[in-house]
Order: sequence, then structure tokens, then C-alpha cells
Amino acid sequence: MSRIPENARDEIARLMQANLQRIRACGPRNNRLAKRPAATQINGYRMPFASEPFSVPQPVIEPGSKSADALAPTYYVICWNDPVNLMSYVTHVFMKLFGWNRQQAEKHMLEVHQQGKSVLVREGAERAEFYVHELQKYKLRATMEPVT
Amino acid sequence: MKLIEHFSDCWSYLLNPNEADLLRSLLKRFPFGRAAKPRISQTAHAPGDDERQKLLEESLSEHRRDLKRLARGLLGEGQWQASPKGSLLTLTSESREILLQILNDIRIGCWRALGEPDDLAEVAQTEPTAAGQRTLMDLAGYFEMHLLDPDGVD
Repeated sequence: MSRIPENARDEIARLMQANLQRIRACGPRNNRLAKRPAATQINGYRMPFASEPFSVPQPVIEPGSKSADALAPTYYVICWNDPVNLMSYVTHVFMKLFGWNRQQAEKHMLEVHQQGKSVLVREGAERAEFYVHELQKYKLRATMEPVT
Repeated sequence: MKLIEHFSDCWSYLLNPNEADLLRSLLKRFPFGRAAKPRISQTAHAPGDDERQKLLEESLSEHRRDLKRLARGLLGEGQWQASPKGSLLTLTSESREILLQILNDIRIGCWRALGEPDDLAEVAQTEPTAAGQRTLMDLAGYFEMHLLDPDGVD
């Protein structure tokens, strides 16, 4: 537990005294106020009480600013067509590396085969690099291209 | 070549005597030809590409050296068992992936040696060297397809 600074203690005592004077001036009907000490301010910060709603000041968001993740560059991992890799092999590699089921792997394989390329995933630089390395170990034509 | 049993991490393939000899000879020939120069990106010089390109080349070079060592391991006696109908090749999931990569490396190597033709049908079969490389390529593809036989696989 932290200690209340000495100058703050004096301030608290003064405010409590002022509240008691105010309550006495109002009379017996307002004695319920005695049970509710006034809020105090210490070093400019208004200390709340349990019965008072307390709201955290909302952060000021500057227009145009983004989170750290949003600012990090991302890359598409693309597999390009070639005339030599077998379709069953390409499907197998996609299933193995990305954990896709056969249907999804075949969808991407057919994109490569029919459209010349397929965007496999979109990732940060490190992860994209990992996938390209693994795909190229299987001798697939894969590259990472910056998302623009 | 046929997958006859697959449970847990074990894949057992039955090869007739000819298939067994051909697969062993393919493994002995690995690596075939020089590796292609890989490209990390098609984009002209994105930031960080030089370093990534270098890392990719080193990684693939090391990987190929590892595959060469593992190919010798696949020729070992522990992998093959004599069977009345031929030879039984037993692989773990990991060694199956390695064999697939080795076979595809051979296939790609032969294709590069043929001049990377867009249409394999255009490759002249009359020239002996080209015919030999085309045969190796087809053999590697044959074994790849049977390793990936969808009956009981994946």
C-alpha cells in the first residue's frame, strides 16, 4: 500500500472539516450527507468513492494513426504455375503445409493450374518467408509479394 | 507399387522387383543436376529482398545437402524387406515426405536439363540424352503418384 503524501493529508483534513460545517449548517434532515464524505482532490486528481460512478478518461485517438500490427508490412504468399509439378503433388503439399482439407487444397491447386497463380495466404514478413522456404523445399514456384 | 498398410506413423509399400530396382537407382542418382536459383519475390526489389534472397538460397542449399544424406539412408537395409511378391518399403511420415521431395527434385532436375520446356510432349525422344532424362522424369513422377495414391492416403 502506498502512503498518502503529507501535503495531501492536510488537504483531506481541511475538506472533511469543511463538509462537517456544511452538514451542520443544513440541519438534521440532511444528516444522511454526513455518512457520505465529500470527494477529495489530491494533486489535482479527484478521488472517487465507491458509490460514485468512476469513468476512466477516454484516450485521444489521433486521426490517421494505426496500431503497431496494422503498420507492419504484410505479404501475399503466391504459388505460380509450372509445367512439371504433378497436380496430386501440389495438392498434397498444400494440405501438408497449411493444414487444409483436400477440397481447399485442390481449389488452390486448380487456381494455380488454370489461372497461372494462386494467393495462398497473407502474412507478416517472417511467416510469409517461412512458407516460401517450405514451398520451395518441395520445389514449388512460390514467392512472397508485398501487399500494396 | 502399392500402399498395402498405413497406420499411425507407418506406411508400407509393396514394390515388384523391377520397381524396387528402379527406385533404388533413382535414389542413388540423387541429386541430379545443379539446383535452380530460387527467387524470393517476383516484385522488382522490395525492401529487404536482398537479405531474404540470400537466406532462401542458403536454406535450400542446406536442405539439398540434407536430402542427399537422407537419400542414402533410404537405401539402407532397415527400410526394405524381402517379400514373396517383391520388396516391402516401410516409411515413417517424415521419411515419406523426404522421399517425395527427393523424387520431385529429380523430376525438376531432369526438366531443367531438358531446357525447361513448356510442353513436355514437344521434347524430342530421338536424342538419347533427352530420352534418358525424360525417362527419369517420368519414373520419378510414377513413384510420386504411387506414394500419393489416394486410396488410404492423406
